[in-house]
Amino acid sequence: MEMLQYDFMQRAFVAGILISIICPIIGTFVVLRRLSMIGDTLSHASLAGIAAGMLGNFYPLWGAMIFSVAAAIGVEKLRKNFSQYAELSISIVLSASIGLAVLMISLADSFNADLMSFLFGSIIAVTGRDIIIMAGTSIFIIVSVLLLYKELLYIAFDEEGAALAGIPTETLNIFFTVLTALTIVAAMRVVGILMISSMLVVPVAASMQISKSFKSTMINSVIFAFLAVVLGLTISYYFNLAPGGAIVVLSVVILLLVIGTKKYILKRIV
Amino acid sequence: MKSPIIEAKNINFDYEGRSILNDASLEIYPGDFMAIIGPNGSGKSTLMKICTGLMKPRQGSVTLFGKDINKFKEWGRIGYIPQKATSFNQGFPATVEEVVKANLYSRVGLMGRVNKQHIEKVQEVLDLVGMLDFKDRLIGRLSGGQQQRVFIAKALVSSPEILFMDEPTTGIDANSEKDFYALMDDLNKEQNITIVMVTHDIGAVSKNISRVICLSRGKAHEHGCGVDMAGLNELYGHDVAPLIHNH
Ligand SMILES: Nc1ncnc2c1ncn2[C@@H]1O[C@H](COP(=O)(O)OP(=O)(O)OP(=O)(O)O)[C@@H](O)[C@H]1O
Ligand SMILES: [Mg+2]
Repeated sequence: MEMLQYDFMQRAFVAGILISIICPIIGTFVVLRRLSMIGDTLSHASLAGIAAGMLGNFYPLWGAMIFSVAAAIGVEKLRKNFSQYAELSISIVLSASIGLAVLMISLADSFNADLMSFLFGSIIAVTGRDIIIMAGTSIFIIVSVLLLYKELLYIAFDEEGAALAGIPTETLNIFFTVLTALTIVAAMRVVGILMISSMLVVPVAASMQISKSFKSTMINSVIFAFLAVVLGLTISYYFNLAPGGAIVVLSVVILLLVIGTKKYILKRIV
Repeated sequence: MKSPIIEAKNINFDYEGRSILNDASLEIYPGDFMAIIGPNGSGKSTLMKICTGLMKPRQGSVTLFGKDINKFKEWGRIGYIPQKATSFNQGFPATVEEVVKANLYSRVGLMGRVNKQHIEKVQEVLDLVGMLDFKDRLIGRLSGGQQQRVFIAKALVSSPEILFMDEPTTGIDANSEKDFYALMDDLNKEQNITIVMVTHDIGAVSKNISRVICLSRGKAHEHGCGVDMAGLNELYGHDVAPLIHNH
């Protein structure tokens, strides 16, 4: 455990553990509402925000937060125009975000190492200030999900029924999308913008293979994400790799192992 | 004379300019066991959604328990099981208990915690519909008829005074259908729940039901039970009733 002597590794692990909690709990609702693409959309919006920060010379995470939350609200507003095609509003905002990001990057002439660290994730780039913001955001996300667990579960299962029971579904949909945006901003420093969406989806996909209830789906996905993050950070420390890549590849390996084990066990029983 | 618990007055509704309901009115009294019949596309589901506030009429008023629907808040008093309730995402990883618990919302409130009495209520309604043994099973792994029962339990958990059901017996075999009507009778007579169901199943209608409403040409007409029903029965059985109905 010599790697934990370094301040930057301690920070990376704290960040990683927060990520392995918030990504799957938000991801569970994202996957079950069939909105898997939303991660890509909001992460590209945060890329535009980071470029805006570099251009305007302010703290890039604020830029990311403003842009991704704005995109989240945009998705929800557009969704009303395409009620049967939620994914269409997501694709539209994705296109806008990518376009804006590319524009901002070329304007700021900021295609540099700093930007690369945001795209691919970084261990050493996580500053003390980043950690404070990530921790604050993560706690807000976790507490929100705990408090609104039954409401979010009901909406994911049966939105009409939830509305009839008196749940303010419109407000909660917007709030949830904003939580998703915050999750992405909190996780992107370590995992990287390009891979953040996988962190929302892959551990949940693995968990759904074996879980026997909604609660266990969420808990198992946190366990899988935790394994992937801890192993991924360790590997990327020793082999000097981009942590996002290591974490995501490991998540996929876990998913394949789960599917493989399940098939093997089923064969043995039947 | 009892006053109606639900009153829809002069409802007009259209989809993209095509009139579906045209001056339709409906009064539902406590204790009613009402069937709403009518041909496909006559607006039965639409009328039900308007009565439960899921759709807004273009004109007309809806009063729930004496309150205008726009001011009504006590949604737990109304249960609703939509048409094709069982066509949800069958891969959704929730247990029977989790699904029923979800509808405790109207008792527990925003961000409220579920307590021991709530859990007991969940057990009670699952027992009532005969699904208690299945409470830890994934909802998607049950048969259509079993899922139907779970949805009834889900609606009952908020202790509704009225239960709306949109074609609840579609896709249920004859035996389960008998059980279903026995359960409905029990809910209506023993638990004093007013029941309103859309159905095409005229045969079953005449046995259990106290009032029959027929939707045609955008209006709701009441049929008496008995003699009148027999004629309707026969006509409907030949699938021509909807077209030559002489309202
Ligand atoms: N989303 C929609 N957009 C446009 N028209 C619709 C929509 N939903 C229903 N309609 C039309 O409204 C009419 C009434 O529909 P509704 O579902 O209320 O009929 P129904 O009596 O319940 O029929 P069924 O017996 O087939 O369930 C139908 O003619 C249908 O074509
Ligand atoms: Mg219908």
